[in-house]
Amino acid sequence: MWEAVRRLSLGALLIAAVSLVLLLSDRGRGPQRSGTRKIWKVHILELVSAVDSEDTERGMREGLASRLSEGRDYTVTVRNAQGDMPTLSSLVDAAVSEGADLIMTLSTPTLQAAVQRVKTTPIVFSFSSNPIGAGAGSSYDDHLPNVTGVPTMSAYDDVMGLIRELMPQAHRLGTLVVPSEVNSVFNTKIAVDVGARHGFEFSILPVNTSSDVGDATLALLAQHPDAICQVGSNLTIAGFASIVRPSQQAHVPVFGFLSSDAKNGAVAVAARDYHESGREAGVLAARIIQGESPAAIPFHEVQGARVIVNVGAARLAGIEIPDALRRRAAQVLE
Amino acid sequence: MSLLVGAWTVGLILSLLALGVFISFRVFKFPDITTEGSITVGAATAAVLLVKGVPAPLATIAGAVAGAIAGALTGVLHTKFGINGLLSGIIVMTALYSVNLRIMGQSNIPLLNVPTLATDAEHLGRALFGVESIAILSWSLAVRDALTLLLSVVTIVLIGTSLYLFLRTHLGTAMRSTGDNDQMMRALGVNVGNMLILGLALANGLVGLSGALLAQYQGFADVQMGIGMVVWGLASVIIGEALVGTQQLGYVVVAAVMGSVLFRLLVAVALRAGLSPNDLKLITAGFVFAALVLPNAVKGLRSAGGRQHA
Repeated sequence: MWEAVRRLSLGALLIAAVSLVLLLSDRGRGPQRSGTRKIWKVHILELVSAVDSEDTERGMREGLASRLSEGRDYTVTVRNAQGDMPTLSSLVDAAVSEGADLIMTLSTPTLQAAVQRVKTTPIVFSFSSNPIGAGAGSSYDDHLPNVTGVPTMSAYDDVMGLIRELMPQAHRLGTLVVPSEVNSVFNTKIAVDVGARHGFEFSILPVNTSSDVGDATLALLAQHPDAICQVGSNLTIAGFASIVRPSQQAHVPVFGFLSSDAKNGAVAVAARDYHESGREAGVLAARIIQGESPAAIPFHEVQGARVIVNVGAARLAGIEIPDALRRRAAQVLE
Repeated sequence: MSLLVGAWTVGLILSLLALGVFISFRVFKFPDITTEGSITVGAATAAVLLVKGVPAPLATIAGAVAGAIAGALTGVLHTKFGINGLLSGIIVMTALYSVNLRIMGQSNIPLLNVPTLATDAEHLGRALFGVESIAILSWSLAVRDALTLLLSVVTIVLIGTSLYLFLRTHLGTAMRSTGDNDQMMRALGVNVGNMLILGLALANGLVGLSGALLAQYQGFADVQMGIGMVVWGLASVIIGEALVGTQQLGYVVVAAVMGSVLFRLLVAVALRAGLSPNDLKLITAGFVFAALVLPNAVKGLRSAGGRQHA
């Protein structure tokens, strides 16, 4: 008996001590000071550290700052689960226990964890292309009363229009899809639909790890697409150079949906950036802080797109960029 | 208080995974990577069935069974085809990735509007207390969270006890001995291969159950939820062992649960402390290190204190 107590005491003691620390840190927050203005505690919750989620976060901060002033009207705390999904619910709990007044989420699982555990505090999401599929509402207008946000939709029409403008004869496009990323699968489906309206047919190959991107591109090129039109996903953003290199050797132009794609060698992109959707989400958050109810704000996609052309990449693919497009482009990379 | 209760609940749910890892890595000394796939297969199976309207307890059990099948498959690859243990786990884990996508039909299934064990707990709580949340001193606690925690405690106690009792039966003892000395067991006429298959099925059944419960608690199943799980399960087992400082069966089972809970509590503290989010993993690693070193330090203090026990 004593043996058991002795053996288990250290563990039990540690658990009790840590529990106590948590419990004390979670103590009642005290009444709101009346008379002084309320400073909103905005908590940004992220699942992973990646280039595009950092872009989104920067956009969110800018959006908030465009209408309010940090420190006077609101404070921002950022938390990141660093890729570990069971941590997500603790992430949400930590925000709640710190008295978050508004929660902003990046990525679909983060939104789901927040929606599951937070029923009244406003939630503004971004970096998630399919909030309906995630369970945040039944349509863009009819959604959970405390949730609103900016679904990240790529500029499909604009990109397809660009390809048609530069390659009037093109018929077959190719893209890699990442089956494990809900956004990649969903976006590819939309790209195929929109492409069909522009008279394009898609060849699609799956890719699961970043080291496979190069090989998958070669396999895709073996199907002789007229152009690669890479739909955005975490994996292919990071590995975009591995898509561009074999395509350039095969003289097949690459098009993309992100501004980083153009820098990495895409001929032309129409980017509706994560940065921009983060910014819109920041503005939505600011509107809620200024008194609007999230229930009355429909989910709201970013409109418009920035056209960026890469003249060097176009020359390699044997494409001439017309002057009209040069003038229209927000940015021309030589 | 939800932060504390939440961390406890996740810790308890993942302690099932730790118990599974304990069986494969410690009892059988088999480096079983299947875990990363079987936690997801458990979650995926349960989620799909829940969406189809299957009662939550049945869907949860189905998740465990799916995990067990995956584990048995790894055992078969190893024993019947002579594939290296680590590799057979990797093969099954890799295959499960596609299988999970097939089961779910997409990479993520939300469980927001379907009845789960979590909503069952909520209904039970409302029936028992009639209120949404209770106040204890200056803390308020959602009845839903309290009941979920209670449900997890009951589940872990039941499963931990049955596992302990099972490992002490003839069959369980044969399993443990197989892990210790398989040549001896073979000489005694035990089919060592079948023992391993059964053991891995049991281990991954627990992992699958853990996944099914985690999905219901978090409100979604996602194909990427298994990433890194073997490492954290193993960390929980080792932290627990360091804490109790013995290999005796009963203690080690309790230790695995304690290790898992402690680990999740420490992650919650790190999150709550509001440190730079980029440092989270570094701090977690530091905590694991401390938990491993502390028991020896305490022992050192005790003996330095002069009173020596026999």
